[in-house]
Amino acid sequence: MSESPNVLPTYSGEAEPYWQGLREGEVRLQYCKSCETYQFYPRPICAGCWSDDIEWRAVEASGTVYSFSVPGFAPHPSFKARMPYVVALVDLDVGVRIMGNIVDCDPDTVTIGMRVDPVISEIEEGHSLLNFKPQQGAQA
Amino acid sequence: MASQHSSQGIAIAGVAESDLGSVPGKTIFQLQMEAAKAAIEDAGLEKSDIDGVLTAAPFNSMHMPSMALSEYLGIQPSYSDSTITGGSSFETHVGHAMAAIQAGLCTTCLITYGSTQKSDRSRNPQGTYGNPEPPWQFEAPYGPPLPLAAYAMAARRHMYEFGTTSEQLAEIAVATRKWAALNPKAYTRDPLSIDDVMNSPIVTDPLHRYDCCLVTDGGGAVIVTSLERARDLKKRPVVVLGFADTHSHMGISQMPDLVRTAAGITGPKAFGMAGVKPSDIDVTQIYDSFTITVMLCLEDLGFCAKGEAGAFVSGQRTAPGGEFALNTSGGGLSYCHPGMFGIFLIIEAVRQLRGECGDRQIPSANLALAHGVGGVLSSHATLILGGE
Repeated sequence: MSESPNVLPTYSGEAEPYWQGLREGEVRLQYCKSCETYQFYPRPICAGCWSDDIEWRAVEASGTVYSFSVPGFAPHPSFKARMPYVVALVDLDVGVRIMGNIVDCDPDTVTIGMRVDPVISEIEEGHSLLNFKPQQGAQA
Repeated sequence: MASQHSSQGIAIAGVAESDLGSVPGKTIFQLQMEAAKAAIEDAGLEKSDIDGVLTAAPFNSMHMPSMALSEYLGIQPSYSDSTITGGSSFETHVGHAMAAIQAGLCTTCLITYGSTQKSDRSRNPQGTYGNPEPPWQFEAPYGPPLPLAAYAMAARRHMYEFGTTSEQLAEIAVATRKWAALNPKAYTRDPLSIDDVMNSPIVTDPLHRYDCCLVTDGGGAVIVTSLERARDLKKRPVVVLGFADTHSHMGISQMPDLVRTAAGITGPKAFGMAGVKPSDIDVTQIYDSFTITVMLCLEDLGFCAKGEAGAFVSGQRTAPGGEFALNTSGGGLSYCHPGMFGIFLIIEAVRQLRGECGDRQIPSANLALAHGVGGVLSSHATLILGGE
């Protein structure tokens, strides 16, 4: 892993079902049955009510761009070739906010409030990330 | 006993900087010793009077900061505090010093900070790319240059919700530079115009280069003791009238609302403790890591309504001679910014209340606010200080 030229996720035990879901093409989030909310990032219990009555659920993962930035420099060499790229915070419809890149579009067309759909991007074999792309017609 | 102590007044009795700017060849310990010695002299105290040591270290530089520093300074304290909440650590240290003195744990506290960030060129965002802590592990793979991208996203959201413009953000950078021109210790004193800011490179969209703080070396120190004791010392005491701190998140993806910060909690609490209101403040020091940081805190501390900071700072209202005296040292934007700026907010507020600020002195300043911000708009700490 230290040999990779890319910035890979730092894997930790409680989040493994999230990363495994992405590797299998599915977005899985933790749902607290006690307070009836999803949470991100994963934890052993619900960070809101501290209930341990939580389960993993596959979700649609569409959402709305809350804010974004286009970095003027690459914070790590692996991002240089991708410039310009969009770093965004996306509010998923299921009620969690998550960071992702907005891909498959011209960065100049991204706006706050834009509807986006999930894209699961494999950065290298065995390592997948949740990203987003504008919904059909969202750029109109 | 507790009730007797809790009514005890607390004061800042000494302040000082070390060498600032570009200080190659000095260590962070050296800078802090310089500042500590100067602050103790400023107070008219001796090293042997110090029985509390509070410090926060720059990133990854010291594992047990207050212990390492105390050894270096030759002090064995009865109160030791290494609280690190980023740039607001030092306002928080004043609050902790107040509590420790009031509880009888110690009598006289030394707060220090030092960084050789410029000489080390240690502000390398790649350094954070190995951090395994959440939420960073869910952010790093997306390539946000932090903390820049976090503040950039807050700025864009402010523009979206309230119509704030890049020109309005630039007003802060320009006004702050005018204050720096009046401060002989400021690192950048050349004139700066709104056009200069607007034409400077985009560092992280929508923030321009001059929306961002400096990277310098430097250190500072502050002495906190009882008001009773401070009255017998060299300088006029500056009384700690109000204090509050909190933090709402660690990573930007976990911040509940990017345009409503926890200054909205610490401001009212600190004002309440001091029994004053924003319009009573004569001189204001707000952590200017970025121009947007200042805008958000002006609103959340109650100096103007939410969404109105753009209008509030327009027309150079915060420049020398303007209606609102803000960041009179030249701030992190133009005076110095050695990684964390919080201690310098306190130093300038104290000097203004003592009337020591020369060309940039606010006439008869009697109430000051110093507000620190740390992380990515994460930690907030508000101090209300008053002359006696």
